[in-house]
Amino acid sequence: MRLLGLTLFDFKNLVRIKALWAYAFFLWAVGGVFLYLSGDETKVLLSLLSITLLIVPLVSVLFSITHLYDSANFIKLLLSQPVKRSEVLLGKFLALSVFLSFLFLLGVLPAVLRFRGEAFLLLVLSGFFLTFIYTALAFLIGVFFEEKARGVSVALILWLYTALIHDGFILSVIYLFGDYPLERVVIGLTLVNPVDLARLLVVLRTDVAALMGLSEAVFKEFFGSGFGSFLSALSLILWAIVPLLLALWRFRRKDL
Amino acid sequence: MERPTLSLPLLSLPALALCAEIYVCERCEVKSINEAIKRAKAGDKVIVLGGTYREGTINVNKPISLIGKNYPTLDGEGKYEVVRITASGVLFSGFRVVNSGVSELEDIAGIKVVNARKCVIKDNVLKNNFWGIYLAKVRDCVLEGNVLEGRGEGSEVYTGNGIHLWHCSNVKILNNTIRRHRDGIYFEFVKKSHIEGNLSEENWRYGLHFMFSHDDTYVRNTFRRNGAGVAVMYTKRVLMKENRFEENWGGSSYGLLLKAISDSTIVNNVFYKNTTGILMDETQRTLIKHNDFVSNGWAIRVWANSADNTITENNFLGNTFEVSTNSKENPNTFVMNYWSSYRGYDLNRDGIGDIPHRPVKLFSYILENNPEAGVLVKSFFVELLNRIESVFPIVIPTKLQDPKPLMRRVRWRS
Repeated sequence: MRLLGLTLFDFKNLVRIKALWAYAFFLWAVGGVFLYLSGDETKVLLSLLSITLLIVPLVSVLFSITHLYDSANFIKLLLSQPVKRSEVLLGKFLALSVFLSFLFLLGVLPAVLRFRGEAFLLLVLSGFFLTFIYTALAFLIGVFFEEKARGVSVALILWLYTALIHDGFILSVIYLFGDYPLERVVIGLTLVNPVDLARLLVVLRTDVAALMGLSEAVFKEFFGSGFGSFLSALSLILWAIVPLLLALWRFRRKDL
Repeated sequence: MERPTLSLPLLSLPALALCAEIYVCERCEVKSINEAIKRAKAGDKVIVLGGTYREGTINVNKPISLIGKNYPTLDGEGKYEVVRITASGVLFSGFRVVNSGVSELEDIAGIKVVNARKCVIKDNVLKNNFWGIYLAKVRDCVLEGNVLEGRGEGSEVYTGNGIHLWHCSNVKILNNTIRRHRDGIYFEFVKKSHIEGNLSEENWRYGLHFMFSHDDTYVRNTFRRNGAGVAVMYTKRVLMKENRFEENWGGSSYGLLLKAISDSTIVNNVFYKNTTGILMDETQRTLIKHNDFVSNGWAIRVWANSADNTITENNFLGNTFEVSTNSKENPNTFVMNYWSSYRGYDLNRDGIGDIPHRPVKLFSYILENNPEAGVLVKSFFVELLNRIESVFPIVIPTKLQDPKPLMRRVRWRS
C-alpha cells in the first residue's frame, strides 16, 4: 500500500509538469500531420514508427534521468521517514514509466483510432516497452553516477548507440562478413537491441516487409515462430527488468 | 419444349447449301454431343441448346462448329478431359466447361487442342478444371473472350495453367479472363503470337509466363495480384505495350521478371505497387520507354549480367527505391527519365535538370549484394545513410546515373 501511495504521489507531481504534456502534444501533432498528408495506413504507420523509435527512448531516458537527479534532495528527505529505499525508487519508476506510456498512447491515439489495425496495436505495445526499458535504464544510470552531467551524457550515449549506432554495427558486420551465412548472427544482433526489436515487431506486420526480399522469409519464420516470439518478448522484458533490479540493488547499498 | 428460334435458320442462310445444322438438347432427336459429332460432316454445325452433358470426353475430330446456346454445361465429373479437339478449322463457342479430371501424371485440360490449325475457341466459361485451355502443336488459332477460373484450392501443384500453349505459332489470345490457375497464361515454344486485352489475376504463380517464345506481342493486358507476378524467359524480340502490372507484392514477387530476354521493347506500360517493377536478369539490347513506375518497392532492379539496355522517358513516381543494382559499373543507358525524387534545378529552363540524378540509394545497393541487410529496413541509421549519400555521393560505388533527368513528367498517354 505504501508503494501505491508513493507512486500516486509522484504521479500527481508529474501531471503538473507542462513539458511532459508538450511531449504528448508533439506526438499528437506529428500523427495528425501524417494523417492529414496521407490517408495511407502503411505510410502513417511507418512514419509514426520512425518517430516512436527515435523520440520515445530519447524522451524516456532523458526526462527520467533529469527528474531523478532533480528530486535527489526530496528522495533524501523521504528516506528520513520510515519507508524502504526500494519502495521509494520503485514508486518513482512506476509513476514515471506509466505516466510516460500514457502520454505516448495519448499522442498516437488519433492514428490508432483511425485505422485500428493489428500493426497499430503492436506500435503502441512497442512504444510501451521502449518507455519502460529506457526509464529503467535511466534509473540504472542515475543511481550509478552521482554527477548529473556525467549521468546525462551516459544516457545520451546509450540512446545514440541503441537508436543509431547499433544498426551501423550490424551493417558493418553484414558488409565485412558478407561471404558467410549471416541470418542467425543478424537475428542474434537484433535480439540484443530493444529498438531493433520494436522496429521489427511492427515492420514484419506490414507490406514493407516484402522489401527485405529473400531474408524476409527467414526473419518472418523466426519472429513469427513461437520460439522467436518468446525470445523477443523475453529480450524486451529482460531489458526492462534487469536494469531496474540492478538499480534497486545498488540504491539499497548506496551511501546517500 | 425448347425449339430453335426463328433467327437461327436465318443466320445460317448463306451457308445453307454448304452445311447442315444438328441440334442437341434433352428433347431433340440427338441427345448426345458425341453422337451429333459422329453424324456431322465437315463444315456442319452442331448446336447445343442448354442442359448439362456428362459424356466423358467430347472428341471433336472433324472440322465442324460446336455452338452452345444458353451456355450448356459440359461436365468432366472430375475424371475426364472434357473437350478434345484434334481437327483443324473447329469453332467451339458458348459452352460452360467444368470439373476436368486431376492427375499428377497427365496434363488434363478443360479444352485441349492437339495438332490442329485454324481453331476458334470463343466466349466459353471454364470452371474448376485442372488445366484450362491447352494447345499443343497448334497454328493459326484464336482464343477469344473466354473466362477461366481454376480450382483455387490446394497449391500450385494441384492446379494447372489457365491458357497453356506448347509448340504453337500465330495464335491470337484476345480478351480472356483467367483467375486462380497456376500460371494465368503459359507459353513454351510459341512464335509470332498476339496477346491482347486479357486479364490475368490471382493466379498461384505467374500471371504470364513464357519461355523460348520469340516474336510475340503483348498489348493492353492486365496482370494483377499474381503469386509471383509475370516472368518471361529465354526469349528474343518481344513487344510489350500498354500492359498493366499491378499489386504483385511479396518477397519474391515481380511486376515483370526479365530473364534472358534480348532485343525486346517494353513501352507504354504501367507498373503499380509491385515489390519489384522490373527485375532485369541477363537482359540485353532492350528498350524500356514511356512507362510509368508508380509506388513500387523497387521500380527497376538491374543485375550486373544485363547490358546495352536503354531506359528512357519513363516516369518514376513515389517508389521506395528507384533503381537498384549489384554492379559498380553501368553498362546500360538511363537517360531523360522523370524521377519524382530528383532534387536538382534547371537554370536554363530547357526542361532538363542541370545536375545528374543518381537513382541508386546506398541502402538498395547494399541490399542487392547482402540480402541479410533487409533486417535494417526502416532503420533510422539507414535513412540517415541514404540522406548523407545523396548529399555527398562518395560512398556509393556505382556509376549508374541519369545525366539528363527531366524536370516534368513525360506525357506519353495521349
